Amino acid sequence: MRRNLFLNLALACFVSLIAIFVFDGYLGIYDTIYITAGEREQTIAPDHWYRYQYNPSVGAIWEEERIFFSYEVANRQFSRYVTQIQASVWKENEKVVDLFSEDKSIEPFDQVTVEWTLDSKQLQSLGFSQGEYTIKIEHNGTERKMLVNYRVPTPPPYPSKVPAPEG
Amino acid sequence: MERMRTYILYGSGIVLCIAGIAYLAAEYVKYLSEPGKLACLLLVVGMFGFLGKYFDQRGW
Repeated sequence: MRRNLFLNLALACFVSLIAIFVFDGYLGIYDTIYITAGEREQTIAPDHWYRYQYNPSVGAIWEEERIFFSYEVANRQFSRYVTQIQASVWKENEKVVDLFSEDKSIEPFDQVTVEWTLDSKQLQSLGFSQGEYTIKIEHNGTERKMLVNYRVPTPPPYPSKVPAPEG
Repeated sequence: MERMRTYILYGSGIVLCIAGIAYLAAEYVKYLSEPGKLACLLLVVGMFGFLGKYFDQRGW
């Protein structure tokens, strides 16, 4: 045992190193966004913001489809996480409307899920039309941005009703 | 000649292993917190220190 003491200590350091990689990666505040537009579901995992530079986007049909957002915040810390979760719609760097705002207190190793809906009729009543909008979600200095692309379905290039033959 | 080839093969294998581990470690370190990075640095220093001491004891 004494002969291999230093080898065992080196192995212990190696095992601790691996444990730190796993444990440190697990700890923290993690947020996941679930979006449903029409029948299309999309999940934006917490690592999206570390891996990719682009903001995720979602498409919906103007005046027809509502977009359902579900935002999950997981507190993987040893202390309580108190924050205000805010969601808003932006257009050309100006706030259009607030979608959600609530204070939340999350217990250690617990999570909360908040939900809100974006309806194009709400935007229409404010004088906006189809196009791209930015959804901004904020909590304790963390900001997540998503693009919403509202479009009007183009009619097919052929007549929907074939005229009856003459004569 | 046979011995030389064995050394080259083993050498390349070891170098590739170390390069792979270094690459993975560099990728994972990006996601570590600052205290985590510091703890990892101390543990790496300790690990190589103890390994050195072990080989020193064996008379290498």
